[in-house]
Amino acid sequence: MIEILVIMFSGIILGYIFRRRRSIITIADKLAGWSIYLLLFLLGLSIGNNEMIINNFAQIGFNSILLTISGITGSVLLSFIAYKFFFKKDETL
Amino acid sequence: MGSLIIVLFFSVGLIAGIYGISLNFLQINDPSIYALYLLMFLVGIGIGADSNVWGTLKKMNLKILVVPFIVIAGTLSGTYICSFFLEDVGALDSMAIGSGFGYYSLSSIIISKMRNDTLGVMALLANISREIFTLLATPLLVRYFGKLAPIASGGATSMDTTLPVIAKYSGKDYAVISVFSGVVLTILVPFIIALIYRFI
Repeated sequence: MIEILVIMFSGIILGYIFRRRRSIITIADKLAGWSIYLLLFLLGLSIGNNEMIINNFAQIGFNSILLTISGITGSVLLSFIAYKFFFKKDETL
Repeated sequence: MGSLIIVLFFSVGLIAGIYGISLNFLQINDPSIYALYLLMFLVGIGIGADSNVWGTLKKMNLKILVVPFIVIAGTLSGTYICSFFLEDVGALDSMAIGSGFGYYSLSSIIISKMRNDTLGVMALLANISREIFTLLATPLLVRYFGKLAPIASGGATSMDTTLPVIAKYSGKDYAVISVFSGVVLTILVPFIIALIYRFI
């Protein structure tokens, strides 16, 4: 996975260097959109080929919802504490 | 709108796959890894070129810094506890799925590469729901849990897709925090997932 991080950081540096060349940035944005579509299509394809996932979709969906709820609950509760003690007293930031 | 199109592409792939279409004829082990490399590079360019990102970084103070770490700590502990109740998902996998922080396109692909497609789908569904929940529940979150709550709930999406609704209900001051937290989490998603799986 380290190669992914290196690739992403070289992108950030290049993006910063070319930040005023809007045409390049717009093209990169569009391409990013299309590569997300392509990747999700490919993910869909390999899942469609995977009978084990298709047959257990209800279970997988149920697990996913539980993970969503628990992740949100944890972070919202912590943010509530932080808000009460650090942010609320001076609403000007 | 954007997420609708993404779900559409995923569903078309899914249906095509169910009906037996596959890319095995390409003779490459995994064509999507190259698409992922391209995407990571382009996502990097987008972040580097975003004047919002650098502007927000200049305005930040120590208090702002706390917010993304609250989201990380809260999500990891929530999903860790959740893993006790899930029969077929281990603690590390639960936390890795949570570490998408709503960034479903990237987290689902990385997790399906590092682990397997089942967990990749779970990451996709769990993180899409995080975005949808935040969009729908922000007014209630603000009323009962304060103005930071929708930012915490939105995770990585609080810099773009959920930003308008957060700015509306938490106010303009909090929009800055929202962008900052979203940017930090977006950048950290691949790092945290990779770090979690280092322990296997």
